Amino acid sequence: MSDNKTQIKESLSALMDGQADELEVRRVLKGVSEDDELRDTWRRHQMAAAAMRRELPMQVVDYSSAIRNAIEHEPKLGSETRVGRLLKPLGRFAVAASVAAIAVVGVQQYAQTVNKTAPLAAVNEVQVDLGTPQLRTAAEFGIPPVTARTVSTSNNPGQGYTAPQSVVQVSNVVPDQITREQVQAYLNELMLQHTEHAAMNTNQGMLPFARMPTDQDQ
Amino acid sequence: MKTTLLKPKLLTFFSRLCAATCLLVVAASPSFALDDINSVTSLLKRMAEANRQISYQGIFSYEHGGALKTVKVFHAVRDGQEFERIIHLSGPKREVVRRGNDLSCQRLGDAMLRGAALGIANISRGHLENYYDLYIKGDERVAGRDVTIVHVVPKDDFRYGYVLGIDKETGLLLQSMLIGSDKRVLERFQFVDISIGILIDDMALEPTDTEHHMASLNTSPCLDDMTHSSESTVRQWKASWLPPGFAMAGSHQSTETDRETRVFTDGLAVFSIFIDSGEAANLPIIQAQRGATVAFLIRMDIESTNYAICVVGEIPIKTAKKVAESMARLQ
Repeated sequence: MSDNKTQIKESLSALMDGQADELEVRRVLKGVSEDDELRDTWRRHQMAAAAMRRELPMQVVDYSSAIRNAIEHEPKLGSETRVGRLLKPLGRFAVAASVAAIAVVGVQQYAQTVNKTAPLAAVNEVQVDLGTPQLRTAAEFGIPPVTARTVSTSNNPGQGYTAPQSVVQVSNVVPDQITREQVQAYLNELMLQHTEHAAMNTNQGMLPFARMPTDQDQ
Repeated sequence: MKTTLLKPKLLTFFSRLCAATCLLVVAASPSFALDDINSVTSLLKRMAEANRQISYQGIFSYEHGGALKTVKVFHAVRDGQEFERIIHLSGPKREVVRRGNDLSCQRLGDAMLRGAALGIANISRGHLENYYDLYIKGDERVAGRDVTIVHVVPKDDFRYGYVLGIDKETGLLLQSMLIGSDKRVLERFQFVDISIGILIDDMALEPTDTEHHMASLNTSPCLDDMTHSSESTVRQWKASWLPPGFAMAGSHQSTETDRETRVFTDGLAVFSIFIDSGEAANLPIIQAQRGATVAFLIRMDIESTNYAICVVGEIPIKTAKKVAESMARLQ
């Protein structure tokens, strides 16, 4: 019995790592529905993972039992209709077709970007994921919350730069008199200058000037 | 019961379909390798010349982040000099004029794109091919004209890729897309309508908006002048790290604002480094992005003086960050 539990816990951690196979997923889902202890383990794992990703909210409330109760008391829907049964294979068709499409798009170099008939959705996703959360705000030159640090440079000749050394709170770094607008204005000024550089060196003539910041962007 | 019988059949059918499409794609891909590299480079060389030497006027669209701008452009060549004017047709009024760019003046980015042997350190003949893979990817139609599509795929992740649409007849660049590391389109220029080789009226080159911006020609010197000017400018800062293939295309020291400026290019991408010790040195650390342009600003305290170092360019943020953090002040 305890062997079985160890095994299912292994499957659980595999599932959380995205490594579980179909059988394991089923085993875990079945186990979780029957075993309170396992359910608790899963919850703890999730919280630990969330804490590591710093996504943990200030207060953790367990809604699961309330939701389960609510579902239990939900009036049952009528049994599957004939139409539903007919549509089911169509759903699978759609899934399979989209998988095929992904396989094709994934292999072709840049192909979806060249295809003029491709929906503009491809362009809507223009945002670069810059990896750090503070950049996600930046559709336009948004000033993201800053994780500040000072960078000091040693005075030794020949050893100009040393790694960042200390971490400072944002409030200590940003003097009160510097406003968001000032930062924005400064960046816009640099961007315009950079655009001139780009227009001189990228052989696209004046095209880079289309990037000029407009009032709407501010 | 019927549905359960159908299931396996459907599944096998689709797995076969998938396998078939995959095979097709794989079968098509070896053609990349067969591209004659010389024909791609000569295409780019022709584009580099056409973009400067041909007179044209047209309207192009510029898209980024789901936003679309339309822009009117005039490009005329008079007495061996370029005269250009650009007007934003949508959104707030913006107008930029650039005059008197001499055709004989070749700048670093230009020369790198043309693949000329430059005799500058680290820049060899066929510079571009060292850092990008070039592919001709067939034909398209842009602004009612036939274009050749060229894919420019970076060999490392310090720079972005490009999809270029080059006019078959004249070599003009009619479409340009910037492609991020995950193959997403970061921005797109595309002509909607263009008249090529026409006589452009003088009036069309005059700004109509009093608020227009006059673009400077002095930020990047011609290669002929470069050796002289770079020696005469006193430079106090040096980037200890540059992404491979990038070289300095210009530098500038503002007397008014105390700002030092550097321009770097690899022939396609350009980034600028700004070093400020004035008011800007009190700015917080900033990472920002608009369209394909990123800015990364850090501060350095050297001998109790604050400096703001900001890297701006159409490059991945990690490249901007690495360059900014590598800046060192010369003693």
